[in-house]
Amino acid sequence: MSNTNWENKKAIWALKRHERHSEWSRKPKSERIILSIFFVIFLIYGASLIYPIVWTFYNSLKTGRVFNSDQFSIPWPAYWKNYEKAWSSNVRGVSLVQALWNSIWITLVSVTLGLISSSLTAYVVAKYHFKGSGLIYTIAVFIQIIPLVGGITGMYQWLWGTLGIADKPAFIWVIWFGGYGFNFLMLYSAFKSVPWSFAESAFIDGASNFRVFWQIMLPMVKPVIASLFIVSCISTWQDYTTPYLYLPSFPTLSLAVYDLQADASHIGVPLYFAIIIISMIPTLILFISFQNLIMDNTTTGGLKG
Amino acid sequence: MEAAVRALPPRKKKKWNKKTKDLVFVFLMLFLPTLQFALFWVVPNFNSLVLAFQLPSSASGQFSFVNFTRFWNELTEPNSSLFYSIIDTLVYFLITTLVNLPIVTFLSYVLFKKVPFAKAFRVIFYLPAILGGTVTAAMYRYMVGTGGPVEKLLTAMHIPFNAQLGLLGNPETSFTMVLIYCLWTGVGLNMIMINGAIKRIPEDIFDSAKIDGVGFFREFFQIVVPLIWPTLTTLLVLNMSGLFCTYMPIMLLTPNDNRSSLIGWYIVRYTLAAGDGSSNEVYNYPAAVGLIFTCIGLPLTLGVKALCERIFKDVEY
Repeated sequence: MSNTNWENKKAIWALKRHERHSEWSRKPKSERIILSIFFVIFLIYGASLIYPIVWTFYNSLKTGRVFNSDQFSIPWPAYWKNYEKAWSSNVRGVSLVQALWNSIWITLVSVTLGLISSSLTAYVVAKYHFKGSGLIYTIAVFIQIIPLVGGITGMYQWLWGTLGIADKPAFIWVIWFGGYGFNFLMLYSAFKSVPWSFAESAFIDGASNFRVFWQIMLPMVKPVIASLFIVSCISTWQDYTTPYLYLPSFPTLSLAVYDLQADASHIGVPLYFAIIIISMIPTLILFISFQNLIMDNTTTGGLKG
Repeated sequence: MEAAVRALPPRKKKKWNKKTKDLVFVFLMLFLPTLQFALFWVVPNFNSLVLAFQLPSSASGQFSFVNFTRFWNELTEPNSSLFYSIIDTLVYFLITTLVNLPIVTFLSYVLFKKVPFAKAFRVIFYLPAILGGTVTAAMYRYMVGTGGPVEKLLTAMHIPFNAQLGLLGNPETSFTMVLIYCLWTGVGLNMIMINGAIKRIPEDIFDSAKIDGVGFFREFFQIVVPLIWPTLTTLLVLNMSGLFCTYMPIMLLTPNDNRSSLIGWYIVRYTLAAGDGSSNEVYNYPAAVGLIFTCIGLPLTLGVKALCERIFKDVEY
């Protein structure tokens, strides 16, 4: 059984390869030349993006002394101890383990809150006709494109000075409960495309507004929520400015990479490289497992505005 | 929907009719997010506006134009870092948007035309966006750093550079290195969006172009560009609106370099200095600078948006 499966797959691959090949040979000669030239350019550019990761990784397997004398030698025997030592490095007075934990909770709390808030607002604005629903949508689009320079100054003074909630995790989460940003626009169009007839029949059966939202409409946009969740997780994981500005005593891995670059020669560059590699692993895993979902989501993002 | 509701026998037990209940529901759903928006978007921005017009270090918040006078003085003083920041911001815009967008648009078209291994390239080009700013910038610093691969390459090609200061440390080359970083990492995200837009063009348009004998470049300029114009407009407008707020590349690569900066970083730097308390800086000045650039950027962004929308009108397919 599995054998025939395998045979089938092989046949499909052969067919696809043949198809690609004939598609290529059907192209006019001039086009094939242009594409070949660009293939080489792409190859060089692609290599320039991958090479630093490889270079960083193999240099993370050296001792500081070996790295300082030669950045290009093969790390043999590999000094894996950097990955052990990395966890106890000091970032703003806490260990890297604590920074990992900060990354995890900040990512989960901020992404979850942002999605809850946006789905509440997007649902009612997309599905209920009330005074001002159109205005809310217009404002949400407008604030995405208008350049408000210097808002950061007002925010900084507001959070540190007036409210005094900066650097206090018990309070700072409120800044993540934003319901009118990018997620709002994405969820708005998702809810718009769900037919209202499902809700109608539920209303006839006596369901309440909230139940219709929670049990009928929300599950319909689950795929959109899932992809927004993954994409936001990646962007929050990378974000170093929010912790830098508003949670400085709770450094994340990303902030650790930013902060420690000044100390790198002090703690040993290869050790710093090990921290870089550790911090990129979670996003790389997420990206590899949800590659198509992430790229398609970004594509639809291009539609807005 | 209303017809369906009306057809039902009236439910007497319920005190509220459907319309009131709907309104209450809408109110409850919007209440917390809107409160959050008011407190953490409206108030901070309004706060910046008020700060800009306040006399610094006056408890009563006296109205004053002194922050704007300071802006003018900083701008016109010799070797003004503010003046250089403005020039650098414009150069940054030229390179990362006006140069980057056309190139990336063309590269996306090449990718769409099935360059071999197009799928793999799409993924690889997206890597900087996945790894994020801190990681990519940290790796870039070492790539161009002292004794690193780029310096090795330059030596091999006999291109002179200041080995003592390093490419990023030398004020003569540091901003160029920042721009190269932005170009190097700035392909993937735009490419995904433009490539997606090209893919949405119906295939029969390309088929009939092929029958008419339209060549590679003509197809790009006369078919692809007009049809994906709305996406290009969106990208241009988003880049423009973020222009005076951008501070990431400087913060990541050359935060201590006073010569090369961007307006966004100029504002952040003064804001942090004010929050620090160790200097005499105040929030009022960066707030005023922000307000001035909002007033410049807003009409510019909206104007460009209107202009772009007029170039290729009524693109529908």
